[in-house]
This record gives sequence, structure tokens and C-alpha cells, in this order.
Amino acid sequence: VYEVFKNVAGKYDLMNDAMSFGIHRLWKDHFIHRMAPVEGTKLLDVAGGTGDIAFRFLQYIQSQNDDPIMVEESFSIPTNIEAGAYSIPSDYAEEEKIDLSGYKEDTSHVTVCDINQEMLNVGKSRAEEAGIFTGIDWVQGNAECLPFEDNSFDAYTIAYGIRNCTHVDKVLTEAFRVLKPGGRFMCLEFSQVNNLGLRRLYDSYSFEVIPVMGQVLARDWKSYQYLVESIRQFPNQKKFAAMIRQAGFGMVTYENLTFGVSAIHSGYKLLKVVK
Amino acid sequence: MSTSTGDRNPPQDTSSGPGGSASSQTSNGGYNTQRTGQGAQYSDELDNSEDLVSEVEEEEMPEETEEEYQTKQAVLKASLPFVHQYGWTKKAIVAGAESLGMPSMVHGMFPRGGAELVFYFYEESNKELESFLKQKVTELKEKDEKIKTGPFIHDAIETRLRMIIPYIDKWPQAMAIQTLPQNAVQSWTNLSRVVDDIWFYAGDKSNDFNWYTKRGSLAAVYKSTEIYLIQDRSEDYTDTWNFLENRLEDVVSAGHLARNLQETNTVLSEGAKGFCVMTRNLLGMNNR
Repeated sequence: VYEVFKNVAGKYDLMNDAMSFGIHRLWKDHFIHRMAPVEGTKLLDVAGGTGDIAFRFLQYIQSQNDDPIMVEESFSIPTNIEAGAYSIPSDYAEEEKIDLSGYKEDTSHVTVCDINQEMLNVGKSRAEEAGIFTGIDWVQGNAECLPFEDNSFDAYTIAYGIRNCTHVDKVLTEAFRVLKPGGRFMCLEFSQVNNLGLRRLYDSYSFEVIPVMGQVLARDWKSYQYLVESIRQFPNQKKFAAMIRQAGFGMVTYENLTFGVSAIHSGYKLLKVVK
Repeated sequence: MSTSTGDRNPPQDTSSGPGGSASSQTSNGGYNTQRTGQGAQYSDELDNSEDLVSEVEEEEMPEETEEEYQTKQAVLKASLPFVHQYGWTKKAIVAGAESLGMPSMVHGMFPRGGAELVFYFYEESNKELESFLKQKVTELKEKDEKIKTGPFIHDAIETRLRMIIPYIDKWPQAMAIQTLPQNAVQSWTNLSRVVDDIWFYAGDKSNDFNWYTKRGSLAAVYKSTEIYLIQDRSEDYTDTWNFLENRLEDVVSAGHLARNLQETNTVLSEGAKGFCVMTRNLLGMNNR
């Protein structure tokens, strides 16, 4: 696995675009939308070498702050309308500022962890180009044995990385370990296309077109052959959800994207709540 | 309190006690989860039936466990105080979760966002109403009094609406959320639950079309009073209760009118028949 990604790192982004016709961007956008992170969230992005998810995460939070959700929308009925030409209902008079003082002072943070230093380097340079210097950490580590403390992250994401791991159950238990109680595990991965008609189309595309593209664009047939095969041997949506549940997560759900070509799995580390 | 011979709407699943299956379905089609009425078990059950499950076309996920349900309820309960500050929105849920010491990611458990808070509040208020009604009925039974429908219904609606008063500053937003198409079905179910409860405890035994008209008219009264309530500025909302009284009288008089019409109809038709018989007698057509 390490070898594959060492070869692929440089052209990784290009290949992603070519293979999925750019749809992978939409998938990742949707993924972050589903997470809907709020300011102050600590995210661990595993196998996120080039930082796609990490950047989107930061952007999402940024956009939320720039354009805060209107709380006092036009639902409130004017309470004191004074007679008189110059009086304005108090709702319109002042600028309602959302009171965020109750929120944590520490800002959101994302830690990108990848087994492959090359991928991390690509990510780092992308961050520098984009001008992002704070809020991201780049750590090298193995998903099956994470170099982090227990209960240290609000959210754990792994986008298109888990199928490459040898021991998926270990990855899941590690995820469970590092998440805080109440934290969310989210996984974006290729999955099974349930629609039979489309499946044939998808299969022929995968086995015939993708390795060819790999050869042409990255001079690497084998890696992309491996990629396609790894997608096939990964458990389908329900089986994977069961595995997640087995690791101890609750409220496990999945959502198919594009008829099941990709799927988002989500689970929570539940805690005993005192009523 | 005799059991009504009329049909009673089956209680809405989401407000039932522990272990109740959540039969709510998000209508935006985003989540492929379907909570079915099966027993809740973790992976053990799944491992055995995995092969069977993978053959089945429809998505079947084990329903919410008790723990998940309690967690959600606790978060929603903790979020209610924040409604004044943030409205019935995701922000309120985040604030509620954080007040319990949970990370903000928890809001993802509520895909419908603020609407879930509204429904939670509605259902809790319905439960409160039901226990109030039960208590009232037992009290009246002990005193061996008959239930006077009019005042009983008035009290019931007043009690229920008074539960809104603590949140009245943001209630218009809640009402707007309830009218959104994806929430409309649930809000309709909630409303019919209120109305059904009130009639049931008032002793309604109808098992004909009256069952529907009674609930329909009461739902209209309740809704219109609710709307009146949110813009009422009077002391202790006395104007609202007067409004309610007038609406109930309207319903009653409408009922009387309907009955009068029916009686008039009977009298007139009998009169007409009698007239015909008399005419035939006169004309000698009635043999013997």
C-alpha cells in the first residue's frame, strides 16, 4: 500500500479528477456539508494526505462565520410599534449581532494524519500556496495505531482511505478510542452500486477505462488496477455499517452518493447520559 | 371512565416510552435509514443474518436503541433553554449539547435541525397535557360529577396553550417551521394527537362521521387560538381565552344548527307525507 501511494502521490489529485470526472469534489463537498461543523471543532482527518477534506473543513467554518445564520429572522411579530412617523420598530433599528461569547475561545483545528510522508508534503505545499498557516497540523502515523491520546477529537474523518487499510476493524477501534464521547466518526468511501443496470456500466468503466487512464496520465497501470480491485473487495454499505457498529459506535447510518458509487457512513461514540 | 367505542388514533410512536420505535422518516431522502419496528440489537444479530440481509433489497437498519433514544432526548431537553437566544435552530442544539459537555458534532444526530427541537417540545407538551387530562378525569370521577364537555374542553385547550407561553417569543418561528413541507406531516400528526386526546378524555363515544367532524372542528379552534395567542398583548392573555370561548360557542351553535336543520327536515318531510295521505283520502284513492 505504501508503495502504491508513494508512486501516486504527485499525480494523485490529477488522477482523481480524471477518473471521477471531477465528481469527487462534489462528493467531498457534500461530505463536509453533512458534517456541518461548527466553530471550535477539533477534527482528525486520517489518510487525508493531500488535505482535500481538511481545507474544505476550514473553509466551511470560515463561511459560517462570515455569514452567521440569522436568528432574528422576520418571524418575530413587532412588539412595540409606536405611533408616529419617525419611530422604527426596534427590530429594524439596531443591527442584531449574534452573541457568540458563549462559544469556546479556541478555534477549530484539523489534524491531518497519513502513513505516507509524500502525501503529507503535497498537502503542506498546498496549504502554503493557499495561505493557510494556522489551524492545520500534519502528522505522519498509521491509522491502525494512531499517535494520539484517548478522547481527544470531536470528529474523525477518513475519506477514501479505509479501503486501503489491511485491518479495517483495527482502524475502527482506534477511531473509537481517539474520539471524545459524543464525537462523530465519518467515512467517505467507494461502495457498492446497488442498481443492477448501472453496476454493469460502472464495472466496465472501472476495469477497462481507469487503468488505461492511469497508464496514460501517470504511467502506472498497476496502481490503478489495484485501486479498482480494492474497491470491489471492500465490504458493501450494510456490512461496513455493521463493522462500525461492532467497534462500538451508535447511531450508525449511511448515505449513498451517486447511486452508491460513493457512500458516507456516520457513527457516534455514545456516552452514558445522566438524565 | 368508559372506554370509547369510537376509534382511537394509535398513539404516535415517537412519544411512546422506552423501547418505542421511532417511525419518523426524513423526507429529504438523504439518509437511507428506515427505522422498523423490530427489536434493537447490536451487531450480534447482524452477524448471523448478514447474508440474509444482503440479499434483501430494502434497507433495514436496526432501530434506535434505548441508549440512543435517551441521548437524543437529553440533548433536546438541554437545548430548550437556549431557544430564547438562538431560536429553534441548529445553534440551539449545539449550545444544548455543549452544556451537557458533549462536542458540537452531536447536532448531526438531528438531521432536521431546529424542527426536531420543535417536535420534541410539542410532544413533551402533549404528554403533559395527557397526564393533566387523566388527572382531571379521575378527580371528577372521585367527586362523582359528570364531565361538562364545554368547560372541560376550554380548560384543556387553555392548559395546552399555556405551555407555549414560556417560548412565546420564538413561537412564530416554530409555527413557520411546522408549515414547511418536510415537517408538515409530523406537525399534522402532533396536532391531531392533541385534539384526539382532548376528545377522548372528554368522553367522546362517537363511532360515526361525528368522530372526524369533532376533531376537525376542535383542531380549527386550537389552531386559530394559537395564532391569536402569539399576538395577544393583554394581561395574562385574557383576550385569548375570551377568543377561545367565542370559538367554542361558534362550534356548538354550528352543531345545534346542523341538528336543527335535520329536525326541521324530518318534520317537514313528515308533514308533506301526511298532506299527501290526506289528499289521497279526500280523493278516495285510499281503498279502505
